[in-house]
Amino acid sequence: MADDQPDLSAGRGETEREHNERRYVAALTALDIAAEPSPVVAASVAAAAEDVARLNATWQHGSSSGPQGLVARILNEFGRLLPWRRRRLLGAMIAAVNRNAEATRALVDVTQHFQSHVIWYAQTITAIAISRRGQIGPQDIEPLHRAINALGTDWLSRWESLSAREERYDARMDALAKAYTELKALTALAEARAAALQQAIDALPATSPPGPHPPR
Amino acid sequence: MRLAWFSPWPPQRSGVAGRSAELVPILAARGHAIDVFVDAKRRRLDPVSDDPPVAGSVRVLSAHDFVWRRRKYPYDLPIYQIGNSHLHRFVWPYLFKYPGLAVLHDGRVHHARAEALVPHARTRDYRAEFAWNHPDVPPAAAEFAALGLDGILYYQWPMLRGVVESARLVAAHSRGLATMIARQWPDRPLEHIALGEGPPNLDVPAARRAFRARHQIADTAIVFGVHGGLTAEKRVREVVAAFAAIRVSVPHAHLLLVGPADPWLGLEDQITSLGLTAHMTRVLTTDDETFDQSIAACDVTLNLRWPTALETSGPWVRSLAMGCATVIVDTAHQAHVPALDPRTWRRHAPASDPDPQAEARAVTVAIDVRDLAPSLSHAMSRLGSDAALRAALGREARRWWEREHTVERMAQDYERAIARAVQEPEPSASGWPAHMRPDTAAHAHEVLDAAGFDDPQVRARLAELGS
Repeated sequence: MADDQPDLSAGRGETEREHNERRYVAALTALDIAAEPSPVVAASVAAAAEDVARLNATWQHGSSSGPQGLVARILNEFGRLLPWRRRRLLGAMIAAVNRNAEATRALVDVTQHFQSHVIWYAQTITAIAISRRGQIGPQDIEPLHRAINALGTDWLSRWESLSAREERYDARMDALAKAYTELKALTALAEARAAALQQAIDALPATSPPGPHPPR
Repeated sequence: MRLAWFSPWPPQRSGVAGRSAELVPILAARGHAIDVFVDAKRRRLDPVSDDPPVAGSVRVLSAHDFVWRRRKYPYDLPIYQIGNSHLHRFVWPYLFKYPGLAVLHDGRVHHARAEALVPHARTRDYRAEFAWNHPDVPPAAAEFAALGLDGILYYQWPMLRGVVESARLVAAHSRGLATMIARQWPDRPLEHIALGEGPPNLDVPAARRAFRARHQIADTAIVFGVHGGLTAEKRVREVVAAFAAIRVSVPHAHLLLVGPADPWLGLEDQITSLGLTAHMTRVLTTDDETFDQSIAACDVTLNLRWPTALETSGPWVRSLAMGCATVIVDTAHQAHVPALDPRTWRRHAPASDPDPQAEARAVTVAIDVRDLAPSLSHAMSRLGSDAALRAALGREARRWWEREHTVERMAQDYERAIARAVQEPEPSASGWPAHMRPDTAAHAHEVLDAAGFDDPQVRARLAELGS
């Protein structure tokens, strides 16, 4: 019996190795699929970009791209105060914010999905490494290293590109919100000035204009 | 104030060492007494008296001297310069044990923490620290490092928690990094300290002429430059390939590579195979003055490090100081920098500046990393042939530098951060992995016991130390 034991354990080792290798192939395939560009993220980002373009157009409606005179700029600013334009701008802002939230959610989902596959992959490699302890040399590690680096680089570049966009989007929304607040303050000021002017006019003594009286 | 400053220090070749050496005397001149604690294994140190430092003085000491000097004359604040490199290895034990102001030059320190633990038979500590830093990540992820797979995934898991939660106050040299930390740790005190560097008053035309004459580069050449260690992350091979491609449209283009090249890049072979030897200048080592001259000699500098540890590039900031047109990679932590997209020559969308004239305020050209090779060729081709664009970018670059990156600005930010840090309470260290705050007195006991040394006075002092 004792002599049989090495053969038995060798048989078990073979089965375990095959099992680990099957898991490895499955994990690598899943990771490969997870690294594919996500159509959901792409669609959300494209839609967000369209919303931002619409927001830009609404904001810059009527203003020329070249240098403007003072009067034209004042007219533009007052044009932005018109209720229907304010409503349109607000609507575009809200749509853009919502779409951006959608894109971010999609991005987070994709990231978590990818990350979970990376972890699965790592666990699989660990199982193989443990089962082959003492048999793994640098020549085995190096190809794995290269494969992981290639996948990771691809993923990280997507993440960087989208994160940079996301940061700018936040800054853009902050800038627009600030501009909108300033615009509201300007409106309030203009209304107060107009009311003060009206009061001043009303307070003037009623006098007849000089000149001949109209014929009776 | 009496400050303990932990940092790499010249002659160590590191940007952090250079910044510390420039800044510390300025802070001392403002009345601080500063002891600089360095890694004594890496540089020779002169003997220093046991007395406390006096206001206005700077002394360079071994980090091993900090503990007893601190007991003899307490410091108001330890200041730790933290970076993602082995040069900061000696800082970690002090950072975790003596809370102070932690200044982050990098926002990802996984390489540095793994390097401090794994090769020193402390893989178990590394696993514990990784799990504590990233509790939402399955612990198996730590096996990458344990197996020696120290690659790109280090950038995904930054291992920053130890720094943020051990410091009284964290300061980041990058605005973008400060924003990211604030999002993740909204309750931890945080400051942005500008990264100040670059010569404020260099005679750029004279420096340009001198460098070009010394290296036989024609005055009429359009010089593209890459500065600092030439590694794969700096995208040097991509730069060389793009340079070869644009020589048709920019016939007077010249490429200047300043710094030692990583042998793994195979740079020489690439240059030879593309027939570029006659159109390039290689400078392997320079002193600080020549380094600045080499930037001044350029029409465009290319600072394409990616992936990054969320740092702000020193050579890039120096290029801004000299009013040089620059190209960088469009990264999330630098998204606040007004930048042109070379695919459209408009501001990267969506721009925070809604003004129709926003393009004119761009400071640099930023390349989407997903489109690196084509965008780099576009950028080099246009910048190589459009002197007006280079001049406009250079003007805005200098303006940005004057606002964001002067040494004076950095010194002011430090004063503000120091004043705040001394007011902040020491953070709690509960729940930390044990190795981050080891019982040093117990360890000393073990060593002494093993050597058969037993002295009541020493035991009493160790008990005091343990408390």
